[in-house]
Amino acid sequence: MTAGAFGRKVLTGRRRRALSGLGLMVGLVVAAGLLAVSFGPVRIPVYTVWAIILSRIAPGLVQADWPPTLATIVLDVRLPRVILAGLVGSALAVAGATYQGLFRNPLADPYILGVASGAALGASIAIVALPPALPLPVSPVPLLAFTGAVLAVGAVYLFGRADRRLPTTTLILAGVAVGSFLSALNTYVMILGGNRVVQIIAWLLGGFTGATWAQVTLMLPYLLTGMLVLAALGYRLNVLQLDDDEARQLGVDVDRLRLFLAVGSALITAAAVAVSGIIGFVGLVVPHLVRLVYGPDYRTLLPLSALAGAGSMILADLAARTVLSPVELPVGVVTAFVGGPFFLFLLQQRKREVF
Amino acid sequence: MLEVWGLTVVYRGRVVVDRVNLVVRAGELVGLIGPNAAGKSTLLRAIAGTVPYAGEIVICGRSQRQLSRTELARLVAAVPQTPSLPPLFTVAEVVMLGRTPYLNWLGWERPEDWAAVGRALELTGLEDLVDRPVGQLSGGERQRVVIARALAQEPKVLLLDEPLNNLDVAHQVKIIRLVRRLTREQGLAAVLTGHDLTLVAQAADRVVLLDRGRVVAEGPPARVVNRDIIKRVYGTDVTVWADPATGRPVALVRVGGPKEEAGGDPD
Repeated sequence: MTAGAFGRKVLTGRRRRALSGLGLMVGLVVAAGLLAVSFGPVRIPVYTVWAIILSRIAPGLVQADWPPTLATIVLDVRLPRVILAGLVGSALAVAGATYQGLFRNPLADPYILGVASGAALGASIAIVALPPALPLPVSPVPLLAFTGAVLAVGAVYLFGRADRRLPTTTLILAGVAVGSFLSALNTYVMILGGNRVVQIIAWLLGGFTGATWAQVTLMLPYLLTGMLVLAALGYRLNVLQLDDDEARQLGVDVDRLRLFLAVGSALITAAAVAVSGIIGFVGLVVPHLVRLVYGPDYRTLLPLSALAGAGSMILADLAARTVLSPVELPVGVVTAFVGGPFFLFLLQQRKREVF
Repeated sequence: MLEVWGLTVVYRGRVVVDRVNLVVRAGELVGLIGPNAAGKSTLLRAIAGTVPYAGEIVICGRSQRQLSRTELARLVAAVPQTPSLPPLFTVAEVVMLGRTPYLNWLGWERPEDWAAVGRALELTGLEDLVDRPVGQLSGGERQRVVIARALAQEPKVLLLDEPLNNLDVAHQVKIIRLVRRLTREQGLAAVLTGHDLTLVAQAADRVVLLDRGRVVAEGPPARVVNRDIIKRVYGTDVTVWADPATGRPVALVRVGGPKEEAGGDPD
């Protein structure tokens, strides 16, 4: 073997596996999506679902031999819901993976910098303070939730900064403190809210009930911006797994990198939370699952997490609305109920280091 | 080639490194010794560009302050005292991180990067471990991985902060041999710190003794590791012999007196 050959052999072996995983997961996400659109109070065969979507994308390609109500159910009710679930799942998984790498801490999840409590406070204020029917194109709840999330992260950043640097411990502690403070405020708002508290709790539990295309278009720009930023930083995130001085010594501007990572993941988390409430577990567990199977390289970990997060959230939402139909379970219940044992099983299978 | 002129580092109001001058030629290995808190690590960190300083550091004829972070990383590589190795990364992946100053933002490796990593793995004898996660390696292997990562940077200056800590005698000898060979063959200007006076004296071409931030002695190992100087700086009595084979000093520390050892009354 030539000088570079051994390294190349090994690195590309892992990488080839990750790339094939990428293809596999795209297939799985599409399959999960079709399945999820197919299931519901009205059962629509998968090939009909496919045909309806195809006829919308390329009119005239397929003969429309289905009743128009089916097209409405597919295109206006179930598809936006499935796509929203997929986008939120991918956002949470990517944000979780990024925070775990950014803080070098396997316990980090998308809500670590106070996004959840900020969003919750914003949503609660919108629900309590504003009249329910406003002449607005979109509900004010996601807008205020998004604003709350962004402000919370901004506060965490300002308080977490020490001496022009951005050390992980102060950042995490600032996140915890700001989060607790905002949660307390939120409880206060809920008490003021009277009977609207039910709505607040429903929002807090999170889910995709009544999802619309408007919600999809509302979150998409933020999601794409954040995802692009993070996708470009995968390699730098690898370097950041060394300690700060080592990364600096390799030419990386650690503090600026950390800022970009925090802003990017805060943006996608805020966008996700704004339209779906607070859904736990996906952002924590999915990156670990991907890491277990495909290794820790963030260049592949981030896109794989995005796909795995999308697929698992689509399936979780499918379960949430079909298991006890017509009653809907909160999707967070499903993600924790299924994801928890599955993750423990995987941990048992591989009794070696996972992070 | 490394030159340090009047280097001073102040940390939290305390002068940690005090007007230090140091010149290391290409192919030369300098051993840096001194009591705890003498400023050894801080001196290395200043050269590596991770602490602010006053004075002048010149690397290959260029002032360190004028170098960008990336340019500096191509010239100076550091092996830290307690390296962090993310346990799931393989040996090849960790060594490839040493190529960071040569890669673009997305980090896609080019053939010359593979070649550099291959050379670094070969020089450190890690060929058979390339696909092992670093979390599964022994202490000596981990130390070699970190050195390989530094070599992948293809530096001109190599800084090793107590690279012999926590290694058994066999591994200490291996690492010393490796560093000496690399210094000579790659024409590196290398600085190594350590607490074991004998080991550093065995390893280094020249020894520099720091005390409270200042250079108090400098020269061939036998001149610096000498009973009077060590007693004055460390406040500890040592016996120094010359190794009959090499002439290098061997410093012997006695904890108890001869009577104690014999079980007799210390008085």
